[in-house]
Amino acid sequence: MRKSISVALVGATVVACGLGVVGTANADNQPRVTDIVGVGSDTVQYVGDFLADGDNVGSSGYNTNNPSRRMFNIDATADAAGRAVYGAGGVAISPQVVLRSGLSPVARPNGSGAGIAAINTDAAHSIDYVRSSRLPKASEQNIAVASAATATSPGSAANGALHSFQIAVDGLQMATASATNAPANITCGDIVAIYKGTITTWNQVTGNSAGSTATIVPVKPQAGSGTIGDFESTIKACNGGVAVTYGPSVITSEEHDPSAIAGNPNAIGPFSSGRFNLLQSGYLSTYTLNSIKLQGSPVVGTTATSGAADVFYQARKLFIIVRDADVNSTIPFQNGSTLNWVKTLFGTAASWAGKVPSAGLFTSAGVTQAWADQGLTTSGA
Amino acid sequence: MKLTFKSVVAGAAALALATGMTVVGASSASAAAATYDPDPNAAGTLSFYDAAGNQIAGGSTTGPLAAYYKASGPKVGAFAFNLGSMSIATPQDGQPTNAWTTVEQTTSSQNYTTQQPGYPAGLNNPATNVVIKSASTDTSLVAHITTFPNASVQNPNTYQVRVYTSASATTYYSANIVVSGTTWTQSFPVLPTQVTTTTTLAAVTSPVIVNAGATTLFASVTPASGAITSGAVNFLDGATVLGTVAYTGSNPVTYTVPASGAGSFATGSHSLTATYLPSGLGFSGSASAVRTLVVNPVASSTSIAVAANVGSGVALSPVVLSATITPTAAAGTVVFSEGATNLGSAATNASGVASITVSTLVAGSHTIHAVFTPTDTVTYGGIAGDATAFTLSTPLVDPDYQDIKVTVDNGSLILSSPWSPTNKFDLGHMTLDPTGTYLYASAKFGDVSNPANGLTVTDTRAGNLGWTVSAVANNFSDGALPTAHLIDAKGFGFTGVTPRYITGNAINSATNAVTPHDVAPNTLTATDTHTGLGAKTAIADVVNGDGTVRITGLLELYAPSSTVAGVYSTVLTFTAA
Repeated sequence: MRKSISVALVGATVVACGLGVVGTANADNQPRVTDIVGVGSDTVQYVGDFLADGDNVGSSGYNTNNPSRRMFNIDATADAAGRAVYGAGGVAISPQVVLRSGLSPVARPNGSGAGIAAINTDAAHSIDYVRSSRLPKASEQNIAVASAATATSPGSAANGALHSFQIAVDGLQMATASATNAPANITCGDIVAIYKGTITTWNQVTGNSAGSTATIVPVKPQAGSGTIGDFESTIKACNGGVAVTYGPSVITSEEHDPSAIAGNPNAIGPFSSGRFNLLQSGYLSTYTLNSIKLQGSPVVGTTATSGAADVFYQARKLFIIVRDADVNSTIPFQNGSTLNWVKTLFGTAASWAGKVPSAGLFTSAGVTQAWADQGLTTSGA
Repeated sequence: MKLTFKSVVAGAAALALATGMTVVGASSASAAAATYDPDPNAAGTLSFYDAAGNQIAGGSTTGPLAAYYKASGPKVGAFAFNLGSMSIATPQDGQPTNAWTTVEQTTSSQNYTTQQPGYPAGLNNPATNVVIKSASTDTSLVAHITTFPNASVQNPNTYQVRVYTSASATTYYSANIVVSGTTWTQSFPVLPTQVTTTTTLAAVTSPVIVNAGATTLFASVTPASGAITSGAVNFLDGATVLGTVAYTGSNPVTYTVPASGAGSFATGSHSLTATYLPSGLGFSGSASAVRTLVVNPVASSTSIAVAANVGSGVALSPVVLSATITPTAAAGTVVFSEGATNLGSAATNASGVASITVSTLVAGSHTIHAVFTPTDTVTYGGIAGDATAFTLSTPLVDPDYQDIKVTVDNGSLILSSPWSPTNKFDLGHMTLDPTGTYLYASAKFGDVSNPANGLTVTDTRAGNLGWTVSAVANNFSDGALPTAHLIDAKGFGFTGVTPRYITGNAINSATNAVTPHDVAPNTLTATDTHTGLGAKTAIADVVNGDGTVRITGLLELYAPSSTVAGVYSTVLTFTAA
């Protein structure tokens, strides 16, 4: 459906009903033509859920006062606990999702890269925003710009360049099971060796010669996720600027899924500091409190990124990516409003995601609210 | 005409001074309620409070509307969460209030159950009233208006403020505000009219000496109706608050300014007031009238040195008496005496010295006493001292003492004129005016050429007192029998009253002028209310009366045209006191 038609239906779609959803997004509820739909990052999905519908302690989401035109946040995983199903060899079984009522199901975008790829091929403008734990790559930006030049469907929205808004800061740390054979505070340099396969047992880790001889199980996030991209850029930097080739023992799991690590004393993998905070808050009943722990104890939101001799840590920014053409649209989002949907939800420091009264929703998701307009900035090739 | 002496007693009217002043406080909301009020979808109403917990009815649109938003009841619904928030909604014509899409959450979601116990009294019990607290980071009303401007025809410039007691609640507590410029005013619920108050500050003793003692101020607050039970009274010195005292309705409230140290009065003039600060919207604030307190410095001490320069040292020869006052800035007068005899006085000169020369001191020992009185008694103190005793020798030739006396008589104040019962002043023949309405006659009672034909006032009284000359006349009568015909004296007037001075006299136009007063006659029209010479009226007065002056003018008479022909007479009496 086209966004221009949604304007014509404004008067007819105002109904007195409340969405009244608190907590996790309900994937069975389909977005209406007047809703703003987002897909993408697993890392950012609970931030989006809480911004849309409120958190699990009773804070209001955007949809509490706006039941007719909603922020509809489609999770990266069909499992609200943030888990994905992986087949042999770590191949994810991709679930389906209906992006708009009346459309056929499509593959659920899972991850920053999948979300960006989805919006870049979304000439029908079913997707309004992408959650991402990284900025678009230059190649992705080029595709977005090119798609505008090649749009041929009559009345199709020219996608144009991708515009990014930072909405929060998070951290990336190495996680292990609480009962683990891993020594504490493994350096970034040793993480490189573990994922290369040159360190295969715990007693080979620097300073842990008396440690366990059990085989290490390195876990990496799924391809296309923002987390894998950040993880690989950090270990690359710790590897003297050389991309790390994964050893044979590395397995793939859904990013920030504790089930791949908890209960395995030899598993280790990068984990969102914010997701860890959310799990430890008891939000997800499928998670056993304190079943995993994080290496090091930096404060989420610091800008420090580890060197080879430091405990692995990466400061991360979390983003909402939209079409640049939507940023300055003259179409009001809510009836009676002077603001378009971008400026209402994400696009200014006074927007729903930017303003201070919404900070509690970010805290509930385990991260820290930090708004900034990144414009058309890209990162990486 | 008879000339008589009469004494006149003048009295001064006492003025009642106002000591209390009522200041009209902030007016209650005057904007009309919205067309949707009371909102059928609201669980109750909302009220606004400042940081101290006082209810307010308006404020600025550029910051948080209020410090606290108080719902008229507790949490709505049986939801598990106790997080509430405040939202602002812009009315939409044709839409029920619960269908408005122009609602914007303004505050963060707050756990009122855990936070309210720390709020001011009246706002701290969520079991009775949910209260949401504002923060400086809240969405401002200005920002909301920018996003959701009011386009309503039915309710222009109106916005609804809502408190939700749960994110899951669909009902809310609400109030309406009307925006004008950068201010908002509550329009619903409608607030009762404020009762005016009067604040009075009791009189203070003035002047006082600095640091001489504490000053207690007494203030009273009186409502036009009802009883005040809360608030505070500020005691102010100009714009400076001396102290704030809680007010519970009992008068007076007091505040004591310490005698010295921090908070005490400095020298100078102080304009003291008391103001009542209400704690809610039931009563208006008010300020008292100003009480002036003058605080004088402690007078600086002075010293005196008295000396006598005996000259030849012989009795009855010139002796110079002098007194030197320090500091020299302390100007004033020194009186020299010996025993009960006042020898004379002199003012201090620029060097602080006052001196006189006396030649009346007889032979023998003398002790001269000098008393200094400063001109500025606030800054300097007076002082007295004695000169060292000295002796005057007997003159070679015995002096001859002669007593001389002089008497000053009381004197007299005399009025005189050439007119008498046998030499009546003739006003002439009355003539009918051209309209045939009245009869009129006039004649000069002395003039510039013949001032002696008027009234002569001669004053020889001791003391050069002032005088006032007044005049009054009986009705004119023709003496006819059995019933005389009368002309009402109200038509009899004395105009063009002019003093005629005598050259070289103490009463003169330059330094001691007489003030004349005309007595207008009643011209017998329907609107003329003059009483003419029918009532005793002053015609001239002077400040220093000794001397002689003549008073002249035009005597006029109006009579009705119905007056019977004849010769009419009256007695015009001049009195002076």
